[in-house]
Amino acid sequence: MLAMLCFVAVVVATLAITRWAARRASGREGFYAANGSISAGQNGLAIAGDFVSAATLLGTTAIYFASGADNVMYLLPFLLGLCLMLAWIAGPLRQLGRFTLGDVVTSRLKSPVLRIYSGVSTITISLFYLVAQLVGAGGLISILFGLPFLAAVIIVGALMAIYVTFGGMIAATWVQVIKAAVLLAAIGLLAVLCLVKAGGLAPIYERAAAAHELGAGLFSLGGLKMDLFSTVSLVAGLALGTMGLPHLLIRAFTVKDAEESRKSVAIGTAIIAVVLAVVFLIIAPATVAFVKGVPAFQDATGGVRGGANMAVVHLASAVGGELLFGAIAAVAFATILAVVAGLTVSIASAASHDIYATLTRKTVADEGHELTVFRMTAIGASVAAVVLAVVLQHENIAVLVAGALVLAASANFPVLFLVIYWRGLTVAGAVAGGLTGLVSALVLLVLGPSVWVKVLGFDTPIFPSEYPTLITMPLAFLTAWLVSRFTADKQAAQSGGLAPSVGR
Amino acid sequence: MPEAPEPTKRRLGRPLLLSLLGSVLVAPVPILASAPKLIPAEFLATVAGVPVLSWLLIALMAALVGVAVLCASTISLSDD
Repeated sequence: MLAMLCFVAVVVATLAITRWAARRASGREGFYAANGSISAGQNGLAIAGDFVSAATLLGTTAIYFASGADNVMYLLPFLLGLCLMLAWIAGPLRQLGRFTLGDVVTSRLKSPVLRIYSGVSTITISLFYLVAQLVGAGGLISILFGLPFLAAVIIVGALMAIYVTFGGMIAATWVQVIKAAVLLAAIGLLAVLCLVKAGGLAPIYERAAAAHELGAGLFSLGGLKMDLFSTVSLVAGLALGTMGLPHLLIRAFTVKDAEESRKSVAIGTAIIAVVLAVVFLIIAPATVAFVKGVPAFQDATGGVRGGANMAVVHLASAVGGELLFGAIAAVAFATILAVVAGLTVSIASAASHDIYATLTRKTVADEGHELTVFRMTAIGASVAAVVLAVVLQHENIAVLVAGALVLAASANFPVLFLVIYWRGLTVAGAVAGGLTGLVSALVLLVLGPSVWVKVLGFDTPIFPSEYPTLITMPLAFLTAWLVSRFTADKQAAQSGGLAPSVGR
Repeated sequence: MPEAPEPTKRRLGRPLLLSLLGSVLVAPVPILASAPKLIPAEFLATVAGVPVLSWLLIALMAALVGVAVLCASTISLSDD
């Protein structure tokens, strides 16, 4: 009953924010970029909120629960990725773009084809990420209310469509900011209660080692038994993919200038680091200590009730009773809602601003049509994500998110980076490089163990690793470089003898 | 929207240096995860009941925040 009340409170609060935002969101500035009115501190919280998603809270604790400290490979690269983003992308992004990544990549190479490619790439990556969040939401609601998974994801899909359709980026940002603040408090409270219940940090580690089949090996690395290619590819994919995540990058457009953008990423990094440290040091081992092998949290097969992704929610029940269980479940639910809202904005803005407006050559005067497409895409994306979430409902959330980051590292990051830093890049080079990264990453992800074996049911994967970034990202860079070299003269001729994008 | 600045105007030294620093800090983690036998036994000893390796990983997170702060404070608009 308490859990139900907490859920209803989250839904009512987020709908109230959406109603408030709907009054302020008029025009593209409001719907796509929150009128550029977000401060560095607020944006830092929103960025932290985007990162501390279902994958972090539920997925990485699930990995620790099963395989130990290897979950750090799903945590650390985000911090490295944010450092790299600060060093290379955060400032130029705000200077070159207005609403979408399409604005940034066409800032120098003015091409409708490139803008459409950017839109397609953004939609693909965001949809992948969206499905991961919905899988988490579906599992959460299922175990709390006994609802079928399908009904649970339909509820979340409907809510995210409402937020974005009516409140646009303003609603998505403020839901995220408020959620991030609540999440920080909830994680802090959960950590303190774990320490109190166990009698300190050391007893948590002693209990965890006693409860887990790995014993003290739980705290070492190597539990996932991945080879060197996979571990390096995973870390590289997460770090570099961070620089290509559309829903994160468009946050740069919600602040007033490049300096604020950079400051907000630094603030976000500090907040994320604190959360990750608490999750890694206290909450993840406490989940093993208090949930592993406890009959109340097991299903008929001896596994964790609701799946390993729900282990941290059971931890809340173990250390704080029904009240904390309801509160943490509601916070996790709010986390998912906030992240999916941001993802839906990135999908809808790419569809309306990059694809629709380019294909129909709409201008500023056609803003109304563009926003109608924005709203319709938000609804369409919700439906598509619900269907895909049902298909992939048994996958680990962190692994699904890693897949989205592989796509971002292979398709978005090379194009963004080369547009900003290489004058020799041509339109053909950018599109060819990006498409090569996108298609090769999608193909290798499908041929890898996550889809080929776990979803499609084959015995052995054709591509042995779940993380192909080490192949797909260099392939994208190489293709972009080669095609640019071969098309440089043609592009120079087309631009009237000038060579604005041709240089060193 | 402002015109895109020429890419050659960007100063690449500091971003490169700070990126290398961050990458070097993180690099041992995937290597050790794929070859746990390389982890020194001392790393699995405990300090205050927590394995040294866990403390090191927390210190690594703190160091990355330091790199982020350095990025934010030493790279300015003029570099963009």
